[in-house]
Amino acid sequence: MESACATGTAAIITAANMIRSGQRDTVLVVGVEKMTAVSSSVATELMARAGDLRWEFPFGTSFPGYYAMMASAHMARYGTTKEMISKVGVKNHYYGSKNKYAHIQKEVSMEEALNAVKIADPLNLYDCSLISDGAAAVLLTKDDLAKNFTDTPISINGIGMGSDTMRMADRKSLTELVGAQKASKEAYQMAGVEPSDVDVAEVHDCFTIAELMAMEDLGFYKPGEAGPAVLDEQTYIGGKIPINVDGGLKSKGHPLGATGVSQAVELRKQLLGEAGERQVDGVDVALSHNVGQTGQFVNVLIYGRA
Amino acid sequence: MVQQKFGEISYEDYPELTNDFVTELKDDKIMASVCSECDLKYFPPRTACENFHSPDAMKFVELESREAEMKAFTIIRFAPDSHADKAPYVVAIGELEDGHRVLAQLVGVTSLPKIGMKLKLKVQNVSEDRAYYKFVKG
Repeated sequence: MESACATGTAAIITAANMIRSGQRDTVLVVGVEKMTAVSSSVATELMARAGDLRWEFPFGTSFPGYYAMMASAHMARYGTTKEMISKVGVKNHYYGSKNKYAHIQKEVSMEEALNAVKIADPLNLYDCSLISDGAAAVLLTKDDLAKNFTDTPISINGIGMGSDTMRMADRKSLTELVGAQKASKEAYQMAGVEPSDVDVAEVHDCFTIAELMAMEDLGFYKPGEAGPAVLDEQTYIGGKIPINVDGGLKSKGHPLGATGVSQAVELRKQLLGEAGERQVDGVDVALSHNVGQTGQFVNVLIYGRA
Repeated sequence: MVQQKFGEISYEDYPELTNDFVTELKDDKIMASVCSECDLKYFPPRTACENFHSPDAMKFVELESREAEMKAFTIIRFAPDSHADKAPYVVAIGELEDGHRVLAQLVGVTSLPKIGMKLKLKVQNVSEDRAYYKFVKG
């Protein structure tokens, strides 16, 4: 499978559809990526080429740069502040420090998050996800075979996929990902739930601004309201909608192909009450949001207990 | 005739379109492409229209206005490897008067750029076989 950073969930969706269509009984989905064999600047170069190669890459675009441009537009349109954006990194590092599988298990203070080395203004080091090695796997099977593998199966209740233009400048709005809105609408409809029913969410925080945009695109907040909600700690455990309580891409890491699968692994733990000190109370509906490129591919999955 | 390329550093995948586009740039002309079947205009230019798909239907027309309004920007400090020695630099998305949006580097600004500021596209010659457009303050 290849769907840029959304490859993990694209593979899960493909496997689910193969099973539902009767083509296969059981499919093992393995997401794996090894990124640290090259320098950060080479990794940045290789990822940058997932954007528009002909008209944008010659200007030295990078993925931090693309999301930084979205941040500049979000800040100008809604008054989103750097502190709101940085708070996402502070939260995700807080939960990453409690996740033994996280790449960087370290808390970061607001002061450190605001003053870190700049990468692409307004984004700095603590706004950018990690260049990681990692792997995750899930086994998908037919409902009537699940008991052969586990007493506590998880079910996929909603699937949605959305897309947008490849070239970022072709988009009319830079403060939202239209593909994420389409994908989530489709997934909510299939699962028969509303955004307010979601108990915990794993969202694609490749950059901190992306988590704010996801909160709005997924319907948890109205456009422009995600930033203040994050500052108010509404996305911590105990808040309105806990998000990325495994550390997210920011602290757990972002091995591209593994990321979407890793979201499923975390949500399974949350649904079964196995997340330890990161456990959210009473999780029945769990949502995964996985973005490829700068929003060209977006997959949303809604999981529940079978 | 030397193959013309866009930008200082690029990975060409459709050399014919870029060759024709950059050849015009060298003449200080910034070209869009327009579909002769449905009149839909594209900038930057494309080889085929998304409605009619036929490359034969696409013709170059010169951009009517180079004035733009800034919609987004960033200052890239940690750059992709091939651009590392050029950082920091400003990259911006501007909306032209005809509604097309384009990404380019913004050069010659001495204070922090602001969303909504007026920009202008300007042709930059690089070498015998390279040229590009950039934003300057409008």
